[in-house]
Amino acid sequence: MKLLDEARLTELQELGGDEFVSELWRVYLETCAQVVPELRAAVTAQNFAEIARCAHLLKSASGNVGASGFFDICGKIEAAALAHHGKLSDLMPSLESMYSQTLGCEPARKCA
Amino acid sequence: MRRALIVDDDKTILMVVEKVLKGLGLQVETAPDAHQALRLLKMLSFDLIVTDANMPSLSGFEFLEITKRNSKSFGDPKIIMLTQRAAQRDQDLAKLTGAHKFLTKPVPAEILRQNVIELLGLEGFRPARDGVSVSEKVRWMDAFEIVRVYEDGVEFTSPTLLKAGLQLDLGSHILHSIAPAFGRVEVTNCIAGRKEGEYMVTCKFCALSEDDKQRMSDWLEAERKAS
Repeated sequence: MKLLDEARLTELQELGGDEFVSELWRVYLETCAQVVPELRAAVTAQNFAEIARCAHLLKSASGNVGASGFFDICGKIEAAALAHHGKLSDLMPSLESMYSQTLGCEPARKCA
Repeated sequence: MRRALIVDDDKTILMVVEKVLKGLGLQVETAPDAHQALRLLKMLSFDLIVTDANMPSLSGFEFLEITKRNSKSFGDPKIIMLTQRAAQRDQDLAKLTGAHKFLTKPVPAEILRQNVIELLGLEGFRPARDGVSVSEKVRWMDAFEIVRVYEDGVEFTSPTLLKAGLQLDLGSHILHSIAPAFGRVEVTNCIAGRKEGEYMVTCKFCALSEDDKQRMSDWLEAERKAS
């Protein structure tokens, strides 16, 4: 699973330049900081609708900014939630690991 | 100027789509949900709506149905549904509720651009409307850098820029050419009149002789090749 979609990042850079990419990632990380805790709480509560909502939003934003690793794991969690699947708790460690890696990746560091 | 409305609860999507649409010369309004979008539709007329499908409270499909039912007051904007839901039934539903195009996220900027150009009939659109051959991707950013320096009022006095008036003039001219594409850019011949937070630049290029214009064009082309 690749952490970043380099082609998407290049496309965004061409669209708006370095400052635009930095601002985009700043907004993305703000979204994550708000939604990831909501997702954790929803998993604890086994609230599948809320899990799906949070995972969907994170997937959308991650795909948009080129955070492909986080995009993939959020997609799996969304699918599991929509299917009311018990594997959700197995997927959460992968989500936490990928979230940490995403927070430490170059685009995230640049906008810090 | 044509006006577009983007509806999405994901702020990063709003930012990217807005960037693409402004690059096509559109005036852009954004809404984080369908309710706010409907309020905007009551106040302003739009040529284009780009909407998500999966939104809290009121879905994109419901939003389009309302828009369609109120077409007499909302006009007849072209509609693009931009969503992660790629299933055929979603595409069919989008079409039934009035969407002209159905694109899946994350949409490549060029795909979105081409669809907007097709829907709004912008085939002849070129950012630079004159004889200067501009590689838009590279040159637009250069122009902004020049203007930012100018606005800060710090680097403006640097020998480099004063000597290289050519660069300043050219950057200004590029902005002049593409000004409609950027809501925050205004072009004026009076630099003393600039307001805080706005980009106001002079455009001396238009008053130059044909020889000087050619000289600038050549310089720009050489710079483009070098980069």
